[in-house]
Amino acid sequence: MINTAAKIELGLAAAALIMAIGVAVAFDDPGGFVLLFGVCIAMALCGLALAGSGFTDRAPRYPAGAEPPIQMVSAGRAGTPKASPWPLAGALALGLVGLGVAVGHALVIVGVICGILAAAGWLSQAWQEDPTFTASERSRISERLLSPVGLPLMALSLIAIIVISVSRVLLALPRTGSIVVAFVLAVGVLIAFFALSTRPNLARRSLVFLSGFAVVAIVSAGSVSAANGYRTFEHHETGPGPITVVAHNISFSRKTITVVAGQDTTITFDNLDPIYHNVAVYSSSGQPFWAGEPIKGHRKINYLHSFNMAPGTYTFRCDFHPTSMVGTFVVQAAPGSGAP
Amino acid sequence: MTTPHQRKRRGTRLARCLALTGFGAIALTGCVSNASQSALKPHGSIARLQNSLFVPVFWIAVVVFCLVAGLVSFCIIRFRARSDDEAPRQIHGNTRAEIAWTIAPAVLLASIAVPTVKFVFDLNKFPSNAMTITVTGHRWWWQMDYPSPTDPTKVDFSTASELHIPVKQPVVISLTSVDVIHNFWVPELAGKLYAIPGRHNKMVLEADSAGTYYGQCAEFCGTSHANMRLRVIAQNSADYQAWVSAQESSPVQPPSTTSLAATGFQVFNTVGCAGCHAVTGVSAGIVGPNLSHFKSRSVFAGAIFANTDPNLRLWLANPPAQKPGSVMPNLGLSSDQINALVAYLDTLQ
Repeated sequence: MINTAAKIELGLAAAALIMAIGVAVAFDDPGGFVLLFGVCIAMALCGLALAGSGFTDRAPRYPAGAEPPIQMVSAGRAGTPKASPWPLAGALALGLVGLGVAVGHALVIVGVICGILAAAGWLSQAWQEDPTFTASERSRISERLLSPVGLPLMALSLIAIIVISVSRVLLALPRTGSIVVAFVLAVGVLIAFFALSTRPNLARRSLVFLSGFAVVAIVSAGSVSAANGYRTFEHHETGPGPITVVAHNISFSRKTITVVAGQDTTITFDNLDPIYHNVAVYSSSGQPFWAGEPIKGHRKINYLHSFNMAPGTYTFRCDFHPTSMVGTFVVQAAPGSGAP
Repeated sequence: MTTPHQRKRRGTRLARCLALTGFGAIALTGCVSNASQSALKPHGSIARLQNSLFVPVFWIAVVVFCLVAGLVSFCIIRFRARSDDEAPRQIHGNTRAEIAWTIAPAVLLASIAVPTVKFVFDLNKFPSNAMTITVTGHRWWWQMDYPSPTDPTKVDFSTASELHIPVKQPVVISLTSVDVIHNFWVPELAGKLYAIPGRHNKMVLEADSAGTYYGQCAEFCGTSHANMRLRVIAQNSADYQAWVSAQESSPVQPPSTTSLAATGFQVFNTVGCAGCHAVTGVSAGIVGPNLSHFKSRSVFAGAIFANTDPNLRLWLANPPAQKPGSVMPNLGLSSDQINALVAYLDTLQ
């Protein structure tokens, strides 16, 4: 039977299909089409699984057309709203924004998203405590929003938070330390789930507290690691800063490029034309030495190369426009090399 | 006149027949005697080693499957409910049976694990005097870099789509990738191995006899993953050395400025081919395959097209139309330019 959740999943599948077709028509990007089509198939399968699951929409509490029963409103101490966790979540989000200001804009974005979620949760709780919020409203929201969208989103968010935080920790630690931490973490997860599986009667509150504590601990460790920066992976002897070359209107922005022999050199090539260009180095007799990857504008690419050539004067050109886009490529001797 | 019930039964029967026929057809493909990519027909020492582990494990699995499936079928038939009132005899476990079905699988798994672990270590032994060929995965073709005989850390020459190896000599393949994860698989010579950007995974290939062995990328890597094939050409020592000598030589230059090949050479140098493809002494592109001895290969474009002039013309006219997702763009070449380019490529023997 096609229930509400299945309808929503199938609707999303249809939307993904339309977007896939749109991407295929509008852009020359088969990857985008494949991704969206994959989403479409996944959504359709989820929808069919939900339809075949046998779950039915909850039956209305009272017959259609009939007046809803009077909602009793309790009063006194029993009616006092429960303490809300959302202000705490809001404070955490604010803390993240503050930390983000110090660390980087990515954390600010995470903090803002958490703040929006906390505000939404707080508003939702306030609505639930309102007398107009009936059981039928709750079931409608659960079937149409929470089950098909909310739960998958929450699961994905949790996975993303754990992956991003743990990876920050592993990247910040020394190589051996990261291996040890990864191993300890894996063993810890195994033991934790073993302990949980052997205690089926563990109180829900304890479970929520432990999970929350674990997530906060992981996010804190990830944030501190991100703030400390990553360990050094490789060290290259680099030359001076990148050399920028712009291609526009089938001409290069500079007529001369000067590099130091044997040094890692970065050439930042910015193609502003809607056609292919590249930078390639040849000798005056046409002997090829190096060719950078061609790109179609508007796009920028960093060529990293060590020009291990004899000091002297060469030619650089665009392989697509070798007569109109040319320049002089000078290779200087490395300091202290003794070469002229 | 047929009733709706009869029509429904006939439709169900037809659907079952179709499903059975389809399943049977798929199953029968396993019986093809001349399948060129069968891991069950090893043609080299490594593949034979892997097959020697696979065969006993397979038959053990067959016995376990028959035992479990047979017992399940027997229990379903023998102990099926014959009436609603009948209840099975209630028991509370059988210690002997439980010990038996715990120990038996443990012993079985241990007996499989011991040779498997030994095999893993054996596979990671690389002959110290073997030649190491660097194979790099690109979307969607394989690049092969042969080491210099005097300095193995330097590349002697590069080729694509076809990997030539000497017969009965172990060759170490150092696998890497420039873009996404690929997987190098020549079933008749060895198992799969990942080609991962930034890493060099090693494996050994050895062929018993001269011949062509077919392989392909075995890790989904994008639109044309299925079009990322390769051929391993095993040659006897003399043929292999002759091939190496030919690859080490400089490509023949177009004979005269008035020939069609000379025009093709000009086209090659002016429309952008040189930006992506290397030809010794002509260009240094690294995005596409090295074309120095292009015409010595039997296939091109990820070993999916025979290296013939008509195929080349179709390819040059619009590469993405021939191979979906091709990184080589449609350069909008005229038919004259294409003919000239083909004539030039024909000289790259």
